[in-house]
Order: sequence, then C-alpha cells, then structure tokens
Amino acid sequence: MSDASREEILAKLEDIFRSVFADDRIVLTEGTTAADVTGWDSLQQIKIILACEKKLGIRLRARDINALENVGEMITHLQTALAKTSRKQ
Amino acid sequence: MLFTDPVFLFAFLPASLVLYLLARRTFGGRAAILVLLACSIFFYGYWSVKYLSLLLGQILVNYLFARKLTRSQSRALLWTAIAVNLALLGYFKYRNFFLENVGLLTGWQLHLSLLFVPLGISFHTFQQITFLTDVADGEEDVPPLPQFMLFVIFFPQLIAGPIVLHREMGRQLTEVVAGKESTAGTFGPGFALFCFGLFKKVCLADNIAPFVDTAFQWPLHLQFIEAWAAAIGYALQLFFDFSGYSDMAVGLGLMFGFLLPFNFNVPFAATSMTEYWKRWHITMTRFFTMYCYTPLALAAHRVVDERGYSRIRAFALCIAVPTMITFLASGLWHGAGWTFIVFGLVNGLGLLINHAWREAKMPHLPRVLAWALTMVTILVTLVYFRSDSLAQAHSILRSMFMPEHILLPLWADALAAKIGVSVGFFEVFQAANFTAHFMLLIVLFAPLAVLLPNPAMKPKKTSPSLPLAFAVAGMIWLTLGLLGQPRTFLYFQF
Repeated sequence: MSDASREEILAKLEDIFRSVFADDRIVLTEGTTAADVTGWDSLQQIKIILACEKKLGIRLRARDINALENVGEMITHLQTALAKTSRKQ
Repeated sequence: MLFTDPVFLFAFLPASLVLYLLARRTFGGRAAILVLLACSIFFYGYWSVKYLSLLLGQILVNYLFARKLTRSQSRALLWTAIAVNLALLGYFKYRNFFLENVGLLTGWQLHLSLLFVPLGISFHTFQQITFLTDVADGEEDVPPLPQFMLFVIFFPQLIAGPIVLHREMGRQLTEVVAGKESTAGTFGPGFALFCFGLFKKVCLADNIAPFVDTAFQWPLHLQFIEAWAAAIGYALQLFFDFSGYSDMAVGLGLMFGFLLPFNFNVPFAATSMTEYWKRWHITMTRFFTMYCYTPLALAAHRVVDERGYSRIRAFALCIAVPTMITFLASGLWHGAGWTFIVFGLVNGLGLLINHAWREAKMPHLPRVLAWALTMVTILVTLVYFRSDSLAQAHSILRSMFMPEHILLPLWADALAAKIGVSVGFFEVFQAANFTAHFMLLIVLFAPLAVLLPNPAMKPKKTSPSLPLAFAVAGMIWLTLGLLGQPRTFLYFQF
C-alpha cells in the first residue's frame, strides 16, 4: 500500500465519501472541495479521516485534518502518511 | 484611526502606500517590510502609545517562545506560551466579569476598576497562538523578527482580523524580501474592494444603525412588529458593518500586494446552521475548528470507536460536547458577559439540532423552510449578541415570539382595516416617517445581504471595466457625502 498511486487513493476516497455521505452518485476529483459536496463540514471531515485510517492502516493527527482543503491535498497527506507507516514497518 | 476616518483615508493610507512602494523600488524588499512595519506601529500607536508597548512586548515574548519551540517542540513549552497569551487576554478582557460573578456568588464587595480593553487584543492574540502551535508542530519556520512582527501587526488586519495563519502571510512576506512580487496587478482590485467595503460600512451599516439603536433602547416598549424589525435591522447592520470592514481589510492588503483570507460568503443565504458558520466570520470559525473543535471531536470519536458506545452516548460525546464547548469559547471570545455566553450556547444548540437531524437521517426540509428556520435561529442569537443584558434580550424575544397581541400602528389604520388587524399606540415606531424610513432600509438592504456575492472571495479576478469604474466612482461619491460622522466598527469592541 505504501507505493499507492494518487489514482488508487482517489478511488478509495471516493468509496469512503459515498459511504460517509450515503450517496453513491458522488464523484471526486483532486480539485473537489468542501463546497462541492453537500454536507461536507468539520464533523463529516472527521468521519472521513477515521474511515481513511481504517481503510489504509494509518494514523492521522487533528492537524492533518485541518490542513486538508481539497481532495488533492488529502491524497498528498495520505501518501505521506502511508510512506511514514511503511518506513516504520 | 478608523478606516473611515478622513485622517486615515486622505493622509495615513496614501502616505504609507507611497513610502512602501518607494522603499520597495529604491531600497528593496527588506526595507519595504521595515517601512510597512513602521507604518503599522504608527497606526496602532496613534490610538494608544501605552498599549502599543504592550502589543510589542507580547510580540517579542511570543517570538522568543517560537524560537525556543523550533529547537525543542516541547508540548509543555507550547502550553506555557498559550497560557501566557490567554492570561494576558483574560486580564484585560475578562477580569471584571470574573470578579463580578465571584462577588455575586460569595457576596464579597469587590471594587472593580474600569476595564480598558486594548484594541484588537482578541484577534492578534489568537493569530499569535496559531503561529506558536504551527511552530511547535514543526509546520512553520520562525521568520526573521521584522517579518514576524509585520505578520502580527500589519495594519489592515490588526484591529479586527481577518485572523491570518502564518502559512498564508509568511510566504508572501518572504517573496517581498526576495523582491519577487509586485503590487501592479493587485492595486486596482484592492482599491475597488476597499471602496466596496467603505460603502457597505458608511452607506449601509451606519445608515440603519440609529434605527436599531432606538429600538434596542426601549426593549420593554417594543410591539411584535417593532421587535422583529429591530432584530432584522441589527442583523443587517452587523453584517454590513463587519463584512464591510473585512472587505476593506482584504482590499487594503491587496493595495499593498498581499492576499488576505476573506471572512464572509453570503452568510444570510445559508439554509442550515452548519452552513451559516461556514459562511460567517470564516477565519474565526476556522480558528475554533482547528484548535478547539477538531482535536476534541477526534479524541471523542476514537474513544467511542474503541469502546463501542450506544448511538445516543456517541452523539453526546462526539458531537454535543465538542460543539457546545467550542461555541461557549466562541461566545466568550466575543465578550465578557452572559449575553455572549448565551449567544454561543444558542448557536451551539442550533448546530446540535442540525447534526441530530442529519444523524437520524430525517428527510431534507424544503429549501425555503430550512432557510427561514436558520434565519430565525440566527436572529435569536443576534438579539443576545446586541443586548446589554439577558433581561433586555428576553424582553425583545418575548415581543417577537410571545406577543400579547399583534397590532399595527395608529397611522396604518387603513391597512389594518383591510387585513383585519387591530391598531394600537406604538411607543417606538410612533412616527410614520421613522418607521417608513426603517422599513425601507430593511426592504432595500435585505436582498443585498442575501443575494450579493462577496467580491473579496476572488479579488484578483476583478478585471478593470467601465461598469466597475462607474460602480466604484458611484460608491466613492455616495460615501464621501456621509463621511462626516463615522461610527466605530462593531467588531472593534472584541
């Protein structure tokens, strides 16, 4: 998982978003922001991050959640977290 | 020196712009930063030299904390630094409120000295706390002292925000030092935005303010219609006042070549409380979300995940507790008083209902109904926000929601007869011309507040055009005619 491409992470994120927002029509791009997804607020953001932690086997900080302003930034953060986790292993 | 003060508009602003641009062109970015710093120090010192030394002292202490945090990244040191900042804020802003309530609880006779809150202390203290936290987390480097000082004291954002993160301003300051950026492309949009903000403040907010003041002065005498007009009028006044100030701040920043974050995104178009708080005073909401709500809610979610609590307990721990703590803190941040605490709690309660509705997967309300419910909740919170005491707020709210009777004023007897409503004596709205003027302002301003997009959101995309030039000229013309008696900005008290 450590060498996951951006496309792979984007696909996983799309699954997570569809499950958190209970909406199978959600399609994500790297440019998607909170304004593009109805109901994406700080509470849903926490649920998304916790789902990412479970799905990708990583641990994120509160600060990481705050820094995420769009899906592209989220993917970059997740890639970095994955790389750190794989180095530890 | 207010942004609407002729001394600011016709002396300080042009002089500081010329000095800044001259220094930049002649001596380079480093000198330009020092000139802008000197101008900003003068701006604050013009108000109070005594409190300027307090501000500079606070900045220096925080700079030393930041340098130490870069080396150690110790959490104990970070908490000490935050505690020092909060203690300063507490001493100047909250000590009388605290002592008053201790006196009430214990019956002690406490002699309170008059409280004098240093201008902008809530805003720049929060901005410095964000920097210290970012440094402790290894996310930001400590810049040279003049750049750090300017990050805090840059005059467009010093008094009432926007609350800027260092990652937003630090890079821009470094680029100025390196001589990379220029103000050529941003001065025009900045000037247009500044004029727009000035217009909102002087022509809209200050125009409706005397009517609102009159209504809030007589809370016990307000009839049903008067109370609603007072609440709506105040919401419009506050919005145009603070968003006008924020537009002016972003506009001023652009005139000097700096992009500051925007604070408003048509908040009165929100159809839920969560949406409203994503649109109103955005940089303050961001601060509380980043440094209060998210850490609390994330910790709570992890505990609940681990222990598998019931849905109701999970809701209480993961949503209710972090939301109410955050809004209590936000209410207190606005001011030391029970009205602000209740303002925060009612907002928190509104958000909880919003979250509970969604978590219970209740059907979506029709948009108009959702908007109306949101606006009514906001009006209730703003009645607390504007009132001097809980008794005043409750009196107005009683007239709004539990009126003894719904009447029209005596002079509207023809209309009353048509719609089958009784008439009565209105103590506040007794003069037809007063009421007609107030109502006209509400009818004119409300659509502007609900429909007009905020140009501060994408200021650099404002391209020069003839209609824009006429609009700016028209706003300047209207504003200049009303500049004589500028009122202070409402958010300066915080």
